[in-house]
Amino acid sequence: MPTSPSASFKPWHALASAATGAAATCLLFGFIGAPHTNGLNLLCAVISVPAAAVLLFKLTRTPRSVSHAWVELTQPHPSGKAEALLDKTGRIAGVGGWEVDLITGEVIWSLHTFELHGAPLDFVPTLETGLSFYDEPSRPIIAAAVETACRTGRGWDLELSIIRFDKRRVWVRTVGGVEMKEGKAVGLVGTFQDVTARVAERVALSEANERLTLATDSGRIGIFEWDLVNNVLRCDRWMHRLHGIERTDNRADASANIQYDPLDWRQHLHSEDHERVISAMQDAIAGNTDYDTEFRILWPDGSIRNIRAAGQVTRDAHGKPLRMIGANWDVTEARRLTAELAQQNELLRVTLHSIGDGVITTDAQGNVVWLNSVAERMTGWTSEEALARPIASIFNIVNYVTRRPVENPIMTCIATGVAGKLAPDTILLSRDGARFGIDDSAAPIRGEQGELLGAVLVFHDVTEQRRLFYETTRMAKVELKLKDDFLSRVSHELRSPLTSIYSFTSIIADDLAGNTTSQQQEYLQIVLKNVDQLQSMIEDLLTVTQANEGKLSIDLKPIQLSECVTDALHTIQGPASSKQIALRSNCEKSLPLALADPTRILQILIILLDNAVKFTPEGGLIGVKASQTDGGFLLVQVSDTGRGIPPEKRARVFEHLYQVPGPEHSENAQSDTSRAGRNGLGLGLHIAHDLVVRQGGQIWITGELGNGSTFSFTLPIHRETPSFEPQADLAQTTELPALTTAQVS
Amino acid sequence: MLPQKKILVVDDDPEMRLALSVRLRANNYDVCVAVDGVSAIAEARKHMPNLILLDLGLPAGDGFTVLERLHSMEAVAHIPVIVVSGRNRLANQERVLLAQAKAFLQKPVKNSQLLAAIEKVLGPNTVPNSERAATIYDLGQRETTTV
Repeated sequence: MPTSPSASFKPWHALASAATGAAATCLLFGFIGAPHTNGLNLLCAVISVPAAAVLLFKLTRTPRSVSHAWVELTQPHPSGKAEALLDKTGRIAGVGGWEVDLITGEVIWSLHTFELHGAPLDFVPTLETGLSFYDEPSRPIIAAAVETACRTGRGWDLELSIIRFDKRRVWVRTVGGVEMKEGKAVGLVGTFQDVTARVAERVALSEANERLTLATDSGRIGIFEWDLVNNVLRCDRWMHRLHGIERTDNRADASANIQYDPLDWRQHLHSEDHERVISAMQDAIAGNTDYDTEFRILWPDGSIRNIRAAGQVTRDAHGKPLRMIGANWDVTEARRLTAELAQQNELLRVTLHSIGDGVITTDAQGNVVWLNSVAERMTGWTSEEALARPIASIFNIVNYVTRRPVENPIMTCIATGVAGKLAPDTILLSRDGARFGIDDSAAPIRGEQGELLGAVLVFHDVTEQRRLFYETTRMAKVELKLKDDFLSRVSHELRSPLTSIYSFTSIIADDLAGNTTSQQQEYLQIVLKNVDQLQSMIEDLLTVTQANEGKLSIDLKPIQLSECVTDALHTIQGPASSKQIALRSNCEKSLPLALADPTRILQILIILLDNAVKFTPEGGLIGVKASQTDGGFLLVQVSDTGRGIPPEKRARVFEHLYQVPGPEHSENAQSDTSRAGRNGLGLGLHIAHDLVVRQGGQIWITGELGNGSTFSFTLPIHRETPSFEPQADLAQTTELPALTTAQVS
Repeated sequence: MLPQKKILVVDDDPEMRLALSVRLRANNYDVCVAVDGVSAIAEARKHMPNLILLDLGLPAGDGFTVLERLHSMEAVAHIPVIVVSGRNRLANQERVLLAQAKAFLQKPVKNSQLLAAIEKVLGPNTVPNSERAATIYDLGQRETTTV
C-alpha cells in the first residue's frame, strides 16, 4: 500500500497517465455494474474521456482511435485547456476526480473533489488524509476496497458517507481503479460524486414502502392499481392472498406488484356479482361516484370470500382517467357475524311475535322503539306508526273501577331504574276504543356498563280471566245471599212451632192443665231446656245471617256496664246454680259510662257466661269483672275455673263455627249433664267477637291451660259532649258492612 | 179483690191464641181473642180491653193496619198495644214503636218476659197463683224489651 504523500498538484496529468489497461477496465465494469438509472447519463458524460478511451482500447481494435485517445490523455503537459474543461464539466456533473501515485505518494484532487470535501484549495491531500474523511462505519469498507484493489487490480464502486471539513456529512459515490505495472499496483485513480440527495430520497422511499407494507399487512389490505391507459392491473402481495393465490414467482422483493390483464381478475369474481361490480367500476371511471363496493371472490379451493373494495380514479389535466388506485380487504367474517346477528334478530323477532304476550320496547326517554304483533293488536298501533312516540300516547291505561289514568310502568321503570309491576284492575284502552284487562310488568334494558338504554314492557290480556273472576265472585255472592236468605227463612219459620212447643210445655209444667207428678215435672224441664237450646241456635243463626247481610244494627249510647253485668248474671243464674257454680261480680264503683249498645253487651256477656258455665266443672267459680284501662277503655273480664284453652287454639276460638276440639273438652261436655252434652253451633264466640269489634273494642283470651280461661273485652268510654243534647240524639246507629265472606255452610 | 184486667189477644194462629189465653188467665187476666185485622178492631170496640197483644202477620189487615186503625178511632185510641210477633225484631221493632205500640216482643216469648212487659203497661197484677205461674225455667233469655 502506498503511503508516500505527494505535495504536487497535477490532476489531469496524473489521471491521463493512469488511464491504462486494468484500471480503466475496472472503471468501466464499475459503471456498467451500477444499476442506477438516475444520473447514469451524466456519469457517462463525465467519464466520457477515460471511459471512451478504455472502451476503445479494450473492445475495438482500432489502433488509430486508441492512439488518438491515448495520446490525448497521456499528454504529460496538457495545454491547461483540457484541465480546465475537465474541471468545468466535472463541476457541472458534480463529479470530482482524484489520483494517487503509489510510487511517489503523490495525490492529486480535481477542484470539485476539493469542493466535495469542503477543503480549502491549499489543502494538501494524501492517501491517508483522503481515507480519514470517511466516517467511522465507512472507513474499514473503503480501506478494504483499496487494499483489494491494490492486490487484485480490481476497482470499487461504493456509496459511503464522508465528514467534510465543515463537519457536514455527505453521501458520496466513490469509484476507484488501480494502475498495475508488471503485476504491481503503481497508482490509484477515481471519482467522487455527491449522492446525498439521492440516498436520502432512496431511504425515504424505502421507509414509506415499509410503512405501507406494515399497514397493508396488519390491515390485511390489498392494494391494486389499474392502469387505465394501458389496461394493466397491478396487484400487491395482499391482493393475491385475498384472492387465495400463492405467488409462484421467486422475486426477492415480495412487495413488488405483479401485472395482470383486468379480464383475468374478473374470472375470480362470483358470477352473480359480476355485473354489479363492473357497473360500479364504470361509474367510478365515469366520475359519477367513488369506487366502493363489495363482492364475492371464488377461491381456488372453492370457498367464497366477501371482499370490500374502495378506490379512486386519478385523471389528467383534461379529466381523462389515468388509473384507479384502491384497496381490497376481506369482510367475510364481518359478513358472517352480521348474518348471524341478523339470524338471531330474526329468531328473537319471530319469538316475540309468536308469544301470547304484548311486548313494547322504548328508549331511555320512554319513546316507543318496537311493538310485537300482540301489542300492535291490543294498542291498535302498528310498530311503524308508534315509532318514537311517547309510550303514554299509545299505551293508554286506566283503572278498571275509577277509569282514572294509571301511572305508566315504563315511566316508573325508567325513573327508578328498577323493574315495576302494574297495579291490579288496570285496563288498556286501545286506539279504536277496545278495552283489555291487562296484567303487566316493565323492566329496564341496560347496556354493558349498566347504563339505561330503555325499557321493555310485557303485558298480557287478562280480560277473560277477570271476567271469569268477577263472574265467579258475583256467583259466589249470589249463592251466599241465597244461603243467608234460606237460613234466615228457616230460622224464622222454626220460631212458630218452637213457640207453640214452649208455650204448651210451660203451661203443663206450670200445672195450668192439671197437676203433674214430680217425674213428669222433671221430664218437662228437660223438654224446656232443649227448647231453650234450640231457640239459642236459631237466634245465633239469625244474628250471623243478619250480620252477613249488613243488617246487624248497633245502637251506641252511654250505658252503665254494671247494669248489663247484673242482668247477664241474673240470666245465667239458673244453669250456674244447677252445676253448683258460684257466680261473682266485681264492678268498680264510679266506673265511667261506656259508649255501647246495651242489648249487644248483654248478648256478649251471656255468650261468654254461657260458655264459661259450659266448660266449668261442677263446684267451679265464674267471675265477672269490669274496670277501666289506662288507655281510656272499659275492660270486662269473664273468668272461669275450667280446663282452659291451649294458647295455639285461642285465636281460632273466635272463628266461625269453631269449637275447641280435644279430649278434655269433649270429656267436659260429656260430664256436663246440665247442658245436655251438646256444643251448639259454635257461633256464640264468633258473634261475641263480631259484636265487640263493631262497638270499637277488642276481645281476647288469657289463662293457663288447666287453670281456667279469662275472656276479656274492651269498650270505648263515653265522652261527655259540652253541649247538651237529648239522649236520643246521642244514640248512634251504625249500619255496618257485611262481617266476613265466611259463611254458614 | 180488684177487677180482672182484660187483654185482647189477636193472632191468626189458634195454638198461639190458646197458649196465650191459658197463660194469661192463669195470671188472673180476662182474655178475649180475635183472629184477623178486621175482627181485632171489632173485638176491641166490643170489649174495650185494658191491653191488646197484637200479632203482625194477620189476614184482613196486618198488625200495622190494626195499629193505625185503632189510633184513628177515638173510642179505642187509648188502649195500649204490645206487639208479639215472629217477625224479625230488627226489621219491625222501630216501626212498631213509631206506630205507638208499647213494646215489641219476639216469639217465642218467655213467660216471664211477657208478664213483665204486661205489668209494665198495666201495673202490678195481684194474682193468687202468681208464684206458681211464674216461669220456673227461663234460661237463655236473649231478648230484652225496649219500651
